[in-house]
Amino acid sequence: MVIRFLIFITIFSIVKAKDISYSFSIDNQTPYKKEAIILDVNISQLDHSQVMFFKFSPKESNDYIFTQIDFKEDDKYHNLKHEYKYRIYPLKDGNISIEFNMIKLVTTDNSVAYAISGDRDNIKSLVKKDIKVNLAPLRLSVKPIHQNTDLVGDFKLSYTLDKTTTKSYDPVYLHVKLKGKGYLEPFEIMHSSKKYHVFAQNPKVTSNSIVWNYAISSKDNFVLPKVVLNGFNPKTKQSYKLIIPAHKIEVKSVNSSTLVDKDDNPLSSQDIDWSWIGWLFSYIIVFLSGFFMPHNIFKRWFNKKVSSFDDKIALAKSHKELLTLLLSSNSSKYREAIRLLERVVYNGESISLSQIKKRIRR
Amino acid sequence: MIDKIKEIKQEIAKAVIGQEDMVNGLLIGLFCEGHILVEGVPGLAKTTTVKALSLALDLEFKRIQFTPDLLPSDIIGAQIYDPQNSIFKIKKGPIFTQLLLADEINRSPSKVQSALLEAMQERQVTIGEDTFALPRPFMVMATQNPLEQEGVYRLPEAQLDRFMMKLVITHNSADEELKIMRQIANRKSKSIKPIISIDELDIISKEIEQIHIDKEVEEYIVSIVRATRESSSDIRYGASPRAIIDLYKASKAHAYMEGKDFVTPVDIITMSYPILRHRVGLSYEARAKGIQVDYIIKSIIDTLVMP
Repeated sequence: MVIRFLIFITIFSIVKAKDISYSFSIDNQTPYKKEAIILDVNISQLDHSQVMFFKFSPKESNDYIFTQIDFKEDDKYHNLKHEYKYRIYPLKDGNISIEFNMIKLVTTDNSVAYAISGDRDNIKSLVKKDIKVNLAPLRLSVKPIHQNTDLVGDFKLSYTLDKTTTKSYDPVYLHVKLKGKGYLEPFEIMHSSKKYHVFAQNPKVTSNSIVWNYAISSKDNFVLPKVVLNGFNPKTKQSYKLIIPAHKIEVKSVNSSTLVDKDDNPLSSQDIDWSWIGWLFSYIIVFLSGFFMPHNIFKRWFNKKVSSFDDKIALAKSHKELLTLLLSSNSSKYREAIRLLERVVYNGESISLSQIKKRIRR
Repeated sequence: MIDKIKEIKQEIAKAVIGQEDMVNGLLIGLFCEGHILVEGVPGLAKTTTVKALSLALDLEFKRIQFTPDLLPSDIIGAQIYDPQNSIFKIKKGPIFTQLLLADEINRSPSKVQSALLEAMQERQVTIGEDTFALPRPFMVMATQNPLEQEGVYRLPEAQLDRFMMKLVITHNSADEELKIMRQIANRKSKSIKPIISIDELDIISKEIEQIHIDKEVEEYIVSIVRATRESSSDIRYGASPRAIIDLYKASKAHAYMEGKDFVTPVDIITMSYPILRHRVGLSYEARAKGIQVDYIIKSIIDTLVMP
């Protein structure tokens, strides 16, 4: 704790200009390559007679990468204060300089009042003066690491292999997770070989972990090679190894003629999908229903089953039944027959039913 | 008097070939003091029939062609200022007649239709401050063309109910049309003689009233009309009590014209179609299915047990 405190208080510079002051501090001025250092930057307004704004950022460079991890602003009236915190990884050893962009924006109360008096239909720009502030670069002396080092930081490795016995072209799934504190960038740990094929997703990289997902398939038995990652912990100055041991995968052969892809497709033989027949029939039924419905064909078929009016007349068993039938037709064609039937039913006259039916048929 | 009716029909047949249903309907309407709505395409001798009927019965006849710009005063009449005598004179409209043909009644707006239909119901007309009774008998035969539906003013249900019957006139048979053609070609225009007087018409009306109708047959009339009001997905509204009265009167008149002295279910069923077809409203579902009112009436007749 005391050591950390001593390192942290390594204050690099405190500079005062006429109207602003700024200070930089880093926790380690001689880090190892890819070892994280923390940079704190404080910028304060000294001239309280005017309105100020600050724009600050480290310059992009191939020598290092940086991430802003914190920002605080105290925007009291005419007394602006900014606090920035960056994590910086030096990417090469030797002496490197971290440079900065800094712009001081100066304006007046009236200009601010004018600018904020606008609205969405009447936008008023803020009239200000942008003044570039030249800041001295931050110099680091970066120590080298061993050439075969894959990881810089404190990491742990875990993995799962779903099975060690499979069928030809049926994949085994390897899930690997690297977790810890330190410099992380995406890289691959598995590659295809003549013996097997590796299907890989892009590694999922977060601030403190990398996850790899692989599907590995082969026609015959194969051995997943041992994976060794060489790590270096700059805090303890210790090197370590993270290992995934070799795994022998037993592959049972299948008849390659049943495979869809006979070369390297991991899908095994598929059952024939007959569902298209159901769909085809559904479409045919819907089409025919739509086609025939306007033509009333179904109705005509249905009506064919019902006997015709002449059949009904022939089947009438009594005078009254025949009279009812003819009356409901409301046709002047049967007027004479209706008169005859009426005389029989309501006047007691005697005319045979068959005789009336004959007359109707005429 | 039944022979007189046959003679009337024969006289009308001199001018009108076929259209027996229309002639029978007009006579029944005349005997029962009812008005007739006729639906049929142009050229089916509607005007000729009414004209022939007026000649055969020795009745006054007038025709009004309904148009969109017709005014109520064009039908019932108006007060006209006489500048010579400085007074208003009554100018009676064409409604003051005994047989009136209201041609294409649905061509005029509802205010004109209402003026006519009110006069039909009240059998009197008020012009200014004076009320005038319409002559007796008074019968309106209104026509509608079923083909043209654009630019027409459909008669409201309440107005339709004032018509005793709605006759649907169809084309003549091929034989009848052959006769019509030959009659026109030979320029055989026979004059129609008056057959009966107004007094005789009154006698016929009284004789029709005396036609016997059995209690069971009376109940059959009520059953048919009430069946039109029963809940059905095809029916929007059923026939009114006025339909029962009209069916009762028309059945008696039909039996009389058939030479009977009592009403049978045959008369009722025959008259059910013209009496009910304009009084039963079809639902939207029924219209969409292409169902006609006559089919509904037929279904009711098929369902009910004939006495």
